[in-house]
Amino acid sequence: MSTSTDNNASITQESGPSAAVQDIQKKIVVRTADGEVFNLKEEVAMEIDIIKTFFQEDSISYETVMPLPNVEGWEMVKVIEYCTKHVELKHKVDGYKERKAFQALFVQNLSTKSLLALTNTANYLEVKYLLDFLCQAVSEQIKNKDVDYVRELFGVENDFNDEEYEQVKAEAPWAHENLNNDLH
Amino acid sequence: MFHQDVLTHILLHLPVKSLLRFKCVSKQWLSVISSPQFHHRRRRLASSGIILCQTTDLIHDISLAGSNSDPPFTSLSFIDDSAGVKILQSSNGLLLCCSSLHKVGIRRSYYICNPSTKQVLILPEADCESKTISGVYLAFDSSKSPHYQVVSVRSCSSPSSSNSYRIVTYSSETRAWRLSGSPFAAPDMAFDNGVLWNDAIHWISPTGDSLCFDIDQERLGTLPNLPSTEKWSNRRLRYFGESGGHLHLIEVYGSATQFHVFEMERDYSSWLPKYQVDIAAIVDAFPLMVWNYPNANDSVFYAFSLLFLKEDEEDSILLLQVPGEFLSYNLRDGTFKKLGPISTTTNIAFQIGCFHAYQFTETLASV
Repeated sequence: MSTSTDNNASITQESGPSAAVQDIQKKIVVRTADGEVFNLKEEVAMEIDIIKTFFQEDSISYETVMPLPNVEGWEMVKVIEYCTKHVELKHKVDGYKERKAFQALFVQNLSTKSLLALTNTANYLEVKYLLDFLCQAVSEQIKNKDVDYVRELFGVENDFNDEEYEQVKAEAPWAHENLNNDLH
Repeated sequence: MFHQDVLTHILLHLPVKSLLRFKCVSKQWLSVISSPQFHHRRRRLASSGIILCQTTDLIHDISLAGSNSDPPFTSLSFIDDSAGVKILQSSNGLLLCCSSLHKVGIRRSYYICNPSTKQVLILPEADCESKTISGVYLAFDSSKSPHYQVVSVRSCSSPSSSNSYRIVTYSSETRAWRLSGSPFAAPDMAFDNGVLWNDAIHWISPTGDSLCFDIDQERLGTLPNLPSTEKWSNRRLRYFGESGGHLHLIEVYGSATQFHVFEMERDYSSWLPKYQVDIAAIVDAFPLMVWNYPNANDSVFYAFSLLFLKEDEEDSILLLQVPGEFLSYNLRDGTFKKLGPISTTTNIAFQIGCFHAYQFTETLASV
């Protein structure tokens, strides 16, 4: 589990709702698969469609802690980081460069395997723009890799026999040449 | 346990070379990458650009105009033809090419190719009496069908019927040619500069007559009359092409610096003036364009070639060539700018008319 940096996630053990709301933005609480609990600002939480849908049900109060059994703590940290930035940039007129710089930093310390896991999570949580970005980031990292690398990364078994494999390869042999197979 | 949706989403962002390679990963990956739905979704993501080719019978250089990314392909050497090939037409990512071989009595080879996947098909010969080919056209629209058709206009030069033509169509689905419609006469018509639009091929003769052939219905028709020109007897057609679902026509008479872009209505009712072009500012900026007639009655000739009109929701651009430069003229506000740098191996200064431009989109479609 990675520790949070300067985002809105905080690890607390809140047991009951806070009565004094006043000028503080409403918080939404979620619990990830590994038991970590996160307090999200409402505007950030609403970027995550699965959370938004859950709390839009009439019978659910904001005091409920929403379980996210398919999400790991470190993934939640990253998702919150991205969504918070996204909300911040929404109000800016020309945030293009800032967004690009942020995106580069965002993926910097993530292995391709972690990136893939995060992509799956973004899909589950239903955050479209994060999913779009992560899919592009993953494809950027795998585009020059060979077939073995990709199989290993995605945990895919080779279900071709030798003959079938050669047949498919023969359709475009040039596509298997001149690869830049640097190890990540 | 990877969600297929997520996998597809990742694959959609990959370049063609990676996709062709990753077909070998597993049967599921092969199935996703080969599916027509995937091809269609990917095509909608892919940006289309314009390629420029020199037509000195060999393709020296192909560059992408108007974009900062790498050109989608730089040569057609994967087509095995000792004389080299030239591009006749581009249709949604597939190219129709023919051999540059020009020997009398020997039939030229025609090729359908996909430069993105480097697949080539040598067009088989049609079993047709009329062997003389006047024009060949490729019709491919991946949003309607994964198959393409090739329309060939043949001239029959039998003693009884001069100027008689026949159309034969090849389908990539049946891999066979069929006769389309009956023989017809078309005096004065040139069949080598037709334009594909609205699932039909359109031709305009030097005298302004027109003909169109509906590919699906295999029927001939005509276009409405061209806009009238007061004192000129011969038409001066300078551009006839399709872009963004519209058919455009440009005529330039004498030493006019202003001319219209006409657009054909979808119901074939009339030609409407869509844009007004004024190249006076361009002439000022590029004095090499001005050629004086030797018997000067103060008449000048402006040397420029209209290469392509690109129309979509974002902009309407006219691509033109003047001596030494390629320019893009914005039809909506009348501004223009140089395109470049475009690398060519020969001096482009005076080769007006030696360049052709084609719209091109990357596609995974098979030939």
